[in-house]
Amino acid sequence: MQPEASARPVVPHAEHFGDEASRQNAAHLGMWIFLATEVLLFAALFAPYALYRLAYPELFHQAREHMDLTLGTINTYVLVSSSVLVALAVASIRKGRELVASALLVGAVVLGITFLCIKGMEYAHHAKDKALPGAHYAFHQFAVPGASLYFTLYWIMTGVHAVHVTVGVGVLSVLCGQTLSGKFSAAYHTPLELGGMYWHLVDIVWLFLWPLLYLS
Amino acid sequence: MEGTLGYGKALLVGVALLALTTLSYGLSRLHLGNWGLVVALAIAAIKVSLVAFFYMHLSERSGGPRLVFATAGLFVVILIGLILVEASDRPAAVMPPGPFSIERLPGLDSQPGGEGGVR
Repeated sequence: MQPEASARPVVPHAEHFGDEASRQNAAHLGMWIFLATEVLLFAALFAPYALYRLAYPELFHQAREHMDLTLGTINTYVLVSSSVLVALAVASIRKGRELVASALLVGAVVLGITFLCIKGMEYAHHAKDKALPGAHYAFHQFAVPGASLYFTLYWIMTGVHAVHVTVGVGVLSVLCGQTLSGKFSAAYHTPLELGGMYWHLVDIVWLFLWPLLYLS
Repeated sequence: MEGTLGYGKALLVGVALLALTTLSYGLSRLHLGNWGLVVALAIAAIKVSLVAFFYMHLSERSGGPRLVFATAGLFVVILIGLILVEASDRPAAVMPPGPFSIERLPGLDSQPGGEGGVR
């Protein structure tokens, strides 16, 4: 049996979305909940790292000697700088400077691609050494129990992160195009803020990966 | 809006992030032993706080977003903390690599039975 139609009039916007500020609040809260799920995804990768570092403390400490510290550190500066550019882009659009914001986003995209290229060079070095994940590990200079675990974690953690960087580059590129086309203004730029938050999360994950895999 | 992200604040936080990155790199060269990891993670936590508070607009938004951020952080600490507490309480014999002799070292292909690496 079909329920009878409601006699109440249809309200085009619910009261809690009555103005732009309310919509912004809802959008930011939704984005933070999404980012929290991303944090828990990476936590599931940091957890086995913690366990195996506890099991093989010396080995994980020695493993950094087989990492390319220079490339890893350059990548840290690259990703942090790209985050700064995205923050400046948001500051620009808030002042209504669309062209400046677009240029800054282009800079962030270029730095994101630079990060991926440098990561690709590192991967090529490890593949050449046969420091590959799981059963494919055959790195003779570091053939001790637990070494394959370290490199398996390295490949998976940095690989999942690189996928996020790739998605982030795509998101920033789309936002850059939309900014250029005049979609955003000082009054409305919520998608740019949210896309920027995703990029900053990618940066945050690397800020932990870098010390864990390269420094200590 | 109070605490809004402007050019000055964005640049100031950026300089702080790059300076902390340099500090982290410099301290790692000093070989601080077991403290190296603790110091590096502490600096990373400061950098993450700066990014979340200023670049991710937590300074402009009280309430829900801050609660989600804090909860996510707390859950990560609980997950990894409990794993570490439980694992460090185990007898060594049940921790990897265990009491078994290691017959097939990673990277050594010349094993009985031949091909492939370590399973």
